[in-house]
Formats: sequence, structure tokens, C-alpha cells
Amino acid sequence: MGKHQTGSRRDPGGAVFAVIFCVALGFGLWLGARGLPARIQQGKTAAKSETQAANPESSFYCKTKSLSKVEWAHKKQISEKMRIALADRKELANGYAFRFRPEAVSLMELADWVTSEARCCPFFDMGIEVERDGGFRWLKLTGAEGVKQFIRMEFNLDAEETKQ
Amino acid sequence: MENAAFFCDMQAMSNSERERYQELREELEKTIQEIKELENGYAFRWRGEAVSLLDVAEWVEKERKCCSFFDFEIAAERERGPVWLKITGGPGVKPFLRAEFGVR
Repeated sequence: MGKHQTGSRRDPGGAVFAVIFCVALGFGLWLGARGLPARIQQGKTAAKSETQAANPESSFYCKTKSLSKVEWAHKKQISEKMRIALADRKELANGYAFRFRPEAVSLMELADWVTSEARCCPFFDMGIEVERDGGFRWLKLTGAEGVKQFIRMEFNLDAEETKQ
Repeated sequence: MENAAFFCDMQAMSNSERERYQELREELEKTIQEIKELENGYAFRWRGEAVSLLDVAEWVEKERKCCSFFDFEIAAERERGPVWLKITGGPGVKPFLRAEFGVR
């Protein structure tokens, strides 16, 4: 465990707070490309009050303090670009892949996002794919059993699908 | 000729970009842990703590400027595990990669 870790498997409330905070700030903005998921908006509130209802079954937690305020602000900027660049989403066996328009977000920005996400939420396997001849960029988020459900719940993907 | 379909535009990078490209390439080559042959290319592995994902991405960004026919994948495994760079492409790209990057 990292010394700055705020979430803990023994503290599901804290864990969920940390997860929601990390996800909401680092990821939620661009996933809400077709409408900001309500769950993520709630997460932002929870991050402030630390009173968000817990999901005691989650085994995934994020180290929110692994990023400074400045780093969070930087990540938020990239997240916003990713939100605008998001073109498609694909379900994978163990996670999701998100496709971005190449002219709207750079490979360096995606790598920057992945780097900070890995510090905050180290349980993800992450991959960036760059197609030849200026083609699309993909970000894959996968992980251990349960991570897919975690993504679905935290990012409100079911509601997103309903909207589409 | 197997490599005939692949053409890199050497003018795509400025002198300073090329210098930076070489610098990154040397740094990355020094710390490679493993090279794996794939059906349509190669995968290069680094220890998570030994490489910066941003450096790998910057190198890829520059490489694709001059050689746009590659597909790239940068993968970071969970819990600061290994970082992989896969370089793949159409038929014939493997011999090209062997020649270009000295892969044996």
C-alpha cells in the first residue's frame, strides 16, 4: 500500500469515497460526453463532504492523495479534452475501450492521463492504441474480475446506453 | 522487396525533434527488458518503474510522424507493473522493424 493511500479494503466507506473522488475528477468528465452521468455528479459532492453512501462490496480503491491539487487541476483539463474527443465506446471481456478523435486529443495527453490515473487508481490495466495513418486513438481500461462492473456502476454506463 | 511498401518521411521531423527522438530512443533502448515477437510486429517490455509512459508516448508521437504506417499500443499493467510497447502493421512490417530497430 502507498503511504498516501486514503482508501482501504477495511474501510469500505473511505474506499468508496476515494473511488468516487478519483473517478469523478479524473474520468467522469469525458465519459459524460453524451450527458454527465448523475452518479459522477454525486461523486463530486461526495468528494467534498466525504459522506457519499458506500458500496461495501467494492474491492477497488483509489489513492486520492497521490495527486496534488495542481495535478488534479491538470488532469481535469485533459479530462475535458477527452470528453470532447470521445467518439465511441466498446465493451470488452474485462473492461471497456474508448475511442477518441485524433485531432481532438493528443497521444501525449492520453499518456499523461493514464500516468496520473495509474497513480491514483492502480488497479486498472490501461492501454493506449494509436492506429496507423492518423487513425483513431483508443484507451482501454481493464482489470481484475469485478472491474468491469465497477466501471459500469461508477461511470453510469447503463444509463448512458439508455440515453443513446 | 519485402520492405518496399514502407516509406518513412525523414523530413517530417525538425532537427530539434530528431535530436529529441534519438535521445528518447537511446534511453528507451537501454532499459528494454524483453522483446517479444508478435504475429504482425514486436512487443517491447520495460519495468514499470524504469520507464516513463510519457517518454514512450513522446517517442511514439515522433516515430509516427515520419513512419505513419505503424500501429502502436502502449500498455501499462496494474500496480505499476510492466509497460509494453507494441509496434505492428501490415504484411511485411516485421522485416522492416527488424532492420530499423535491430531486432534479432
